[in-house]
Amino acid sequence: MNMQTNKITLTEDEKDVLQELMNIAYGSATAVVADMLDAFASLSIPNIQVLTMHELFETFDKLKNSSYFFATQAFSGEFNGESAFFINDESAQNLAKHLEIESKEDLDDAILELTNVLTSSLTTQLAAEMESEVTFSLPSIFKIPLQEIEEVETFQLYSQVIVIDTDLNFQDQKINGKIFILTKDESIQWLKTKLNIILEQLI
Amino acid sequence: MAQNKTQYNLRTADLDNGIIIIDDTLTIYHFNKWLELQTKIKEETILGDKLNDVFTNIKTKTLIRKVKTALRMNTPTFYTAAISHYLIPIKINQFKNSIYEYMQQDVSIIPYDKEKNLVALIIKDQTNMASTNALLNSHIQEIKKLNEALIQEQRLREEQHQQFLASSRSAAMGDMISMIAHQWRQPLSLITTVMSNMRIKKELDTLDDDTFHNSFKKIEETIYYLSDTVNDFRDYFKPNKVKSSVNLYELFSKSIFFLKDEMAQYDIKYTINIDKDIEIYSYKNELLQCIINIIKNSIDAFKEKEITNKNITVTLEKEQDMLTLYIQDNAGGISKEHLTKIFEPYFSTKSKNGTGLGLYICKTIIEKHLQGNITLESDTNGTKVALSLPTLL
Repeated sequence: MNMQTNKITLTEDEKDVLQELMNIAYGSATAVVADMLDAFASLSIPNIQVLTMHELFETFDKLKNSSYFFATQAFSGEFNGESAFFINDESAQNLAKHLEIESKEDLDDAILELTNVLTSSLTTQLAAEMESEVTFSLPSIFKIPLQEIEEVETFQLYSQVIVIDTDLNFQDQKINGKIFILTKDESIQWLKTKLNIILEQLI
Repeated sequence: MAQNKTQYNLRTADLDNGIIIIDDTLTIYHFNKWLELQTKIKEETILGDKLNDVFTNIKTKTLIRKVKTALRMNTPTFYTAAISHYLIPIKINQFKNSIYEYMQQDVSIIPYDKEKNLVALIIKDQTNMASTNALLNSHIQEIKKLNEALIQEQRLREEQHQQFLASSRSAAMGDMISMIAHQWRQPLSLITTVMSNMRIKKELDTLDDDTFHNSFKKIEETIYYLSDTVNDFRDYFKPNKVKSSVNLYELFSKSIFFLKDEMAQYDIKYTINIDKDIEIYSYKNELLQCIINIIKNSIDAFKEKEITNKNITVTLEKEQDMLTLYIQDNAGGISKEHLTKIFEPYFSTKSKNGTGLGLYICKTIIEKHLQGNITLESDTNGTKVALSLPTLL
C-alpha cells in the first residue's frame, strides 16, 4: 500500500475550528465521566498537534515510566483511528479506592471502562459536529504492557497522526489520566475537508 | 411489561450469542434461547427478577455503572474476556483444549430503549480465543525464559572471553620479557667484558685515560641501547586506542628486530618481500602483536626440528580494498589432526611454555578488532599463514 509520506499540516484556522469542536466534545465527555465516577472532573484544554509516529513514541516514552497501564481502543467510520489512554500508578490506586474496587482485575476493567467512556464520548461528539458517525468494533479495547507500546501492530499502520491530548483530572480523588486520539492519514484528509466546510460556513 | 416474552424473542432466538435485556436496576426483560440452553434456566422463570439475584457472582455496582454509562453516552460499554473472564457463569462441557472451567465472555452493553432505560447485554463465547491466547502466553513465557538463559550464556561466554584476553596479556607480557632477555644477553655480556678488561688493566696498572674513556663510552652507549630496547617494547606492547597509518615494511622490520637475536641463535634467515611504501590504516600495535606471535610460532617450530636452510618469508598481495599478508616458513608443517584445532583457545603443540592462546588471540584481534581474516595452510614442508586486512579500517 502506498502511504502518503508528505506531512499534512493543519492551518491555524483549521486548528482553531478543531480546537473549538474538541472543547465542545470535551465538555460532554467531562460530564459523562463525572457521572460515571460520581465525582467532579475537569479536563484540561485539549492540545492538538500533527505528529510523526516517531514523535508520538517519544511522547509515549516519557509517560511509560510513571504509568500503571496503557489502553487503546479503535473506532471506525469516516472519522477513524485509535485512542490511547495512560493512567499513572497512583491515580489507578486512587481510582480503585474511589470505586471501592478490591481486585486487580476489577481495577483493570474500570480503567478500560474509563478509556471507553472517554474515547466514545470524545469521538462520537466530534463526529456528530462533523455530521458523521463513529462506530466501535466490539470489543476493541486492549490492555497493553507498557514495554510493548512500540510493538503494537496497528500503530505501525500510521505514518503520522493528529494527536489530541488532554489531562483528565479529578482533583479531590487525585486521579489523572492522559488520552490521545490518533487518526490516520486518510482521516486527517477527511477532517481537513470537513473543517474547511465549517470554516466556509463561518465566513 | 417484563413478561412480554415474544416481543424480544423473535429477534434474538436464532443468534449464536447470549442476549439479555435489562434496565438500569438490573431487572430482566429478556433472556434468549441460547442462554436458556447454556444455563438451563428458562426465561419465564426469571423475567422480572434482578440479574444479580439470579447470578450472584455479578458485581452489582459495576454492572449498574456500566449500564448507566451506556445509556448516558448512548454508546456501548464492555466487559472483556481478557480481564473480566465472564459475566454469566456457564460451565464448559468440552474439556478438550480448554484451560477454563467457565465459558470466557466478551460482553457488550448496548443502549436498547433510552426511554425505558433498557440495555441489551450481548454475550459472545470467547473461550477458544482465550484458550489460544493463554496457550500463546505460556509459549511466550517459555520463549522469554529460553531467551534469558541464552543471554546468561552469552554473558558467561563474554566473561570467559575477557578472561582469555587477560591471560593473553599475561602471555604477551611473558613473551616480551623473554624477548627482552634475548635482546639483553649480548649487550650485557659486552658490558661485563669491557668492565673485566678495565679491572684487569687497572690491576696491572695499564689503564690509561684513553682506554678508560673509551670503555666508559662503550658501557654508556650499551646502557642507552638497553634502555631504548625496554622503551621500544613498552611502546609496542601497549594496545592502541586510535587507528593510524601503518607502513607494513617497517612493521615487519620492527617484528624481526624484536626477534632477531633469537633468530640468529637458531640460524633462521628471513626475507621481507614487501614494497617499502605500502601503508594501511589500522591499529598498529595489535597488528604487530599478531605478526610477532606468528613469526614466534615459526621460530618455535624450527627449534623442535632439525632443518637446514631455515627460512621465513613474508609476501603481500594487494586487492582493491583489502590486502593479504603471507607469512611462510619451512619448519616442517603442522599435522592434520592439530590443524583443525589450531585456532582454539588453550590448544598448544609446544612441548613447553605454550599457553595455547597465541593463535586464538591473533584470530580474535584480526577478526574482531581489525575487521580482517586469518587462515592457515600447512604441509610437510612448512606452514603458510594468510592475514587479510582492510586497507582502510
